[in-house]
Amino acid sequence: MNLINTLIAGVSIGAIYSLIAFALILVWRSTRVVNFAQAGQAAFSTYVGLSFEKAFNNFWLALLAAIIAGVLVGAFVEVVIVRFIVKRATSAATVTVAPVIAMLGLLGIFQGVMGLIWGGEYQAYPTAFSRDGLTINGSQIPFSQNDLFVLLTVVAAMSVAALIFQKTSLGLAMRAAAFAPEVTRLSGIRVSRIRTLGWAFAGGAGGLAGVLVAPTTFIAPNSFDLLLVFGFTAAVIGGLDSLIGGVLGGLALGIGLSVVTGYLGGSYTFMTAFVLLIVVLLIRPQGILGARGARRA
Amino acid sequence: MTLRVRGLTIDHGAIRAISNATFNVPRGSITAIIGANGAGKSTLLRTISGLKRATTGSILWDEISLEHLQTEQIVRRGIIHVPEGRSVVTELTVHENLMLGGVWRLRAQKEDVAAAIEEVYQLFPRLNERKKQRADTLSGGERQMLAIGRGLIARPQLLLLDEPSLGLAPLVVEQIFHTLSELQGKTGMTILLVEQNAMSALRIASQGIVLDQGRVVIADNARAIMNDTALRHAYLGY
Repeated sequence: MNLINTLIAGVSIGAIYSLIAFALILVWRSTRVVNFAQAGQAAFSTYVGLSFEKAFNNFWLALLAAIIAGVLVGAFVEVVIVRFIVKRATSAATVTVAPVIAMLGLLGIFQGVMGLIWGGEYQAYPTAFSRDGLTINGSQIPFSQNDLFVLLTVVAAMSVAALIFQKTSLGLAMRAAAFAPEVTRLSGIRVSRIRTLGWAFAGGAGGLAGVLVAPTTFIAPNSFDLLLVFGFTAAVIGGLDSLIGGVLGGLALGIGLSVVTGYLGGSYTFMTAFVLLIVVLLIRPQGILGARGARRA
Repeated sequence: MTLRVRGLTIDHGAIRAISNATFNVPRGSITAIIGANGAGKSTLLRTISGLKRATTGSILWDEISLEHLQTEQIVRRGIIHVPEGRSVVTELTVHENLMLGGVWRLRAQKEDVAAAIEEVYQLFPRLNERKKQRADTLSGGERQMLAIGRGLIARPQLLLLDEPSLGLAPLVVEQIFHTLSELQGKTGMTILLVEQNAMSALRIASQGIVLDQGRVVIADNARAIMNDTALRHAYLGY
């Protein structure tokens, strides 16, 4: 197994981990909740995309539908559920525990509802591009047209997000609300609306990630659970507060796991991700680019 | 426009923070609320700005009652609260912190927000020198200037300042209070200043309100309070 090929093979899946990490971090920053239901939201959005795909036979329309579904589901979850849980959880213990349990419960509800609507069996998700490895100098590499499409799409999505965060007043309000909600409110900004937007953006990113990964993993109600674990690991590696950290964490994890799979075999992949998660939490709990000081939950 | 507080009672769980407080803050004045730590001063400001709800009583500004409005709506009525602890967003730059103070009116009044930011830079030249630095690289005094500056971007009619002198060197305190006093003279805004540092606060204030365990014990001319030795001994501890 050629090392360079192994590294290349991890890039596009790493980009998808980045996208999930981005979604988790966005939600963490806006409400201090780790959104375990993200896997369910992403799968739901991908199913909506698949329904559009079947009805109109148009990959791009389906992609758009999945993103919009993700945005709406994200906003819905925040407005209807999270807001009340966060408001009711006032003691130190419930602030930490209640949202986690609620999000796990919500993941279960999502999976049940998806099973009722779309059935429990794995379904194929089409892609607009070839999944055969590209040929360079007569030798095939483990990187397809579709991988290139995934990578460019994630880069484009992250660039748009970076522009919004760094260059617009909405982005300024979102960053301020993430770190100092009270000062942000006192500056006349409706922080509750900013939170809803954070969940909506995160949901959209999850929908996009779902459509990008589904051709590889197939789609079933629980087919993105593993993706959530990897995305969460990437987010922790990056330091839950840093969007750039999460994106870099995703790429590093994708490439790292590809090396493990290539040299040790696929059965080590899952375990390696968990070992990595624990090692990061032990040695550098603030992540690679996370803020200094202790993690708050 | 006068701020009228009538029979205001505020509870913190089982603890009564403010008990049946009644006082006026006349327009265009600096009013200092003084009293020991735990006298309920911060709670009072947090209730005026809508971060906390009163148990009973009313707060009127410009004849509009504030006690059921959201913080964002209170900001839009020209009441700006600068909470204690040099509250800035440490992860943002100095310039971004000032921008934050104007985001809510950016769409309608973009030019005026830019002008207000320039005015803050003139008022506190140190902030201008550090405008691209993250707020967590500032000294304590600079952070307090930034916190006040963030509030000024809204062009407040009523500025609520909570312990601006806390933890700052006497020289820096003097400088900040001097700037506030000048600014008040220039703009005619109303300032409600909460302070443990009674002397510094009363020196720039025209009116003083002394709180003791949540009760208004004195509301009088600032000079009269300063000159009343018995009162100072009883409530202000010097």
